[in-house]
Amino acid sequence: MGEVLMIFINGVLGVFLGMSVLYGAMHVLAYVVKRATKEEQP
Amino acid sequence: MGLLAVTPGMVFMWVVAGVLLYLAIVKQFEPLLLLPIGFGILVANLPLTGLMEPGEGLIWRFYHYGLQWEVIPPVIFLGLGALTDFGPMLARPSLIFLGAGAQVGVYVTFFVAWLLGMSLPEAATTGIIGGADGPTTIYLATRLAPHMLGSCAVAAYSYMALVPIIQPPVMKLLTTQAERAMVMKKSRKVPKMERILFPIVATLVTVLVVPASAPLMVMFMLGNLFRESGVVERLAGAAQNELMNIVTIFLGLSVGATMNADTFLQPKVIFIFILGLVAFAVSTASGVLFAKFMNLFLKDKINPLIGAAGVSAVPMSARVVHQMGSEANKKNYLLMFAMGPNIAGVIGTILAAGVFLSMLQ
Repeated sequence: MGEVLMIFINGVLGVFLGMSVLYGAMHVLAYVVKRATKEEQP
Repeated sequence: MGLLAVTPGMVFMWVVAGVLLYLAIVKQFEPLLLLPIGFGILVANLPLTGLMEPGEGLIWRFYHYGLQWEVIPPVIFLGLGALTDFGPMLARPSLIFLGAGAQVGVYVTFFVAWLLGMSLPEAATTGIIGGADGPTTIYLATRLAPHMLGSCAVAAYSYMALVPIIQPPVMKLLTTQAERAMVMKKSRKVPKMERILFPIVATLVTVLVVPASAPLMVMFMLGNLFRESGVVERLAGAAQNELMNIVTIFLGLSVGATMNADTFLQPKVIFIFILGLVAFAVSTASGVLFAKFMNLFLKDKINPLIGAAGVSAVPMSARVVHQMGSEANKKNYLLMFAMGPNIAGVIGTILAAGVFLSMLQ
């Protein structure tokens, strides 16, 4: 039972952790691209 | 003579093959996979052919070099990446959490499968059916429970085709009319540069967090980079069309050919089909419930129906969400919003499979 619960918890947390990090990266990416395109504009 | 070597089990499998061919050709249930799978089942249950003879058989070679060597599923993901538009997801990043929310169903089913007596690898292979991602299901089954490959693949693709029947009752049960009628705020336009950089950033980020997801994630993002860069149209075209079609043929045939009477006619197979259905339903429910949870914190509320699109049957789930939203409010156009979690669900399922692999291998 312990091993199953470990896999369950690690699995759910792992997916959410991965998505959270990706979420942060997407926001950073959007910010960087927005700044880069603003600097290009006269 | 082959006729003298026919067994009742083989005849039963011919009927199973016939059912899948009927579903593929007449009902058009996921024909690209169910047709070659059905035919693979038929030929694998013909006696004395040697087609699946280890080391020698023709179809065994497709299976061994394509699946056991873990080549075909990642190549399929190359094609999927070239077909995928991450725009709806990039326009509203919070929607990726709905792709994660739907994966809770995968792990709940894993737990239930273990309680019912399956081993951990078998339970994981059954649970991943809830991710509604055929290539990921096949990849995980090949690595963890090859004897369940055929059954899990057939269950996954059959239920993907049945998404318009499985999901709506669950979605109606968990939402009110007012929630279903909710109109969402329009998303921003995504610049080209962001679309080009996303697959590179996503590869770095996801593979650093879950390294075991690398084979599928890397190919998925490479295919998307082919598409978005705009400078390798021949490669993007080949990945989406010729390559995808070729590997789909070998994939379907090999998967079907693993389903001989001895491996399929087991009590466990019934559990796989029942639990596969449970996995789809629970993943739908967890996606919708997570959307409602997110609304507690979001300023711009999301229609909770789109949580169901976290079940990554692309684009079928998104279409079901759109249809239900339109029924509740004719002015509602949820399709592009639903594509966000739909595509995020593909990433979520790859991560879920990666965690299973890192813990069970």
